[in-house]
This record gives sequence, C-alpha cells and structure tokens, in this order.
Amino acid sequence: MAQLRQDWAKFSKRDAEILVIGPEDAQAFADYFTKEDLPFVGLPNPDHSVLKLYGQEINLFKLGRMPAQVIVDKQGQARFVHYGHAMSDIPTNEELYLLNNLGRTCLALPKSARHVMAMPLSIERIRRTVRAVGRVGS
Amino acid sequence: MPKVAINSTAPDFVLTDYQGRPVRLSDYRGRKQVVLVFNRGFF
Repeated sequence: MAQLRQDWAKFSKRDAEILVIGPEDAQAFADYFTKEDLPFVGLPNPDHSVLKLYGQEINLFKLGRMPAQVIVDKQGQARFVHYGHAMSDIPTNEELYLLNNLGRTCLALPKSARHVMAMPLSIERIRRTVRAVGRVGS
Repeated sequence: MPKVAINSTAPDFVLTDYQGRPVRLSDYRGRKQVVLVFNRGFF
C-alpha cells in the first residue's frame, strides 16, 4: 500500500483512479487510510458483494480471496486482470503502471500475446509479458 | 483454465467509500481509467 501511494501521482497523471476494495468495514478503512495517509478511494465491502460479483463474473479469487487487480479503461472495459496465488504474488506498481500505460497498445498485440494477457498470470508471466509488450511497442 | 472475461465490460457496482460518498464504477466511464485493487485485508 505504501508503494502504491508513492506511485499514485503517476497513475493520477495517467488519468487513472485507484479504487481499493476490501472486506473491512468503513471504520477499519478510515483508521488505516488516515494512519497511512492514503490518497486512494477506499471502498469497504464487508458484505463481499463486489468481491463476489467480480469473483463470479471474471473469476477473480477462484483460488480463495487473494489480492487481485483489474484495470478498467475509459470505455469501462476490463483490460487487464491479475490475481495472485500468494500474498507476495502482486505485480509491482511499475509493472501495473506499464500495463496501464500500455492499455491501448495491448489491443494492437498479436492474438497470441493477448491470450497471454487474458490468462490468470503469475508474476513471472506478467514480467515476461511486460517485456514482450515493450518489444512490440518499440 | 479459469475463464477471465478480459476485454469485456467490467461489472458495474456502487459502493459507499469510507467517508460516506457513493462511488459508482461507471461514473468514471469517459473520464478516467480505473485500477481496482482487491485487497485481502490490511492487517
């Protein structure tokens, strides 16, 4: 979270808003966001409705409620989905930023590369994909 | 292999943020990209 805050300005410049959704209640969010001075939109979801919605509709959390990230473009389309198999299996912000930055480029990728993007990704796979996208874009 | 509905419309939702303001995903449409971070827990 601290890392995410440091990179928030970059996301913000990219016209991206970061919404953090979690199972805690509003008080726990308020305590944590105030203590850590987090600039994100914090969305308590104690009844798990959105967590379930995304779990069902895009199969996040299939292996349990692990951290997950979804990038939604300005047209409301889900362009990148990642969920971790472990708490440490989270893409770095630099990688998320790159993917975010490359949102449109991804559409121009060969189908095979898009297929890779569409699969539940291991962190190694994300890093390989980011490198591959970089090559295609350059 | 789990099916991930990439490149399809992200399911819309409305939640109240911790400061009591309603936030609707589709309100960002046409204005901003959104990074949804699903957190397992802070603590």
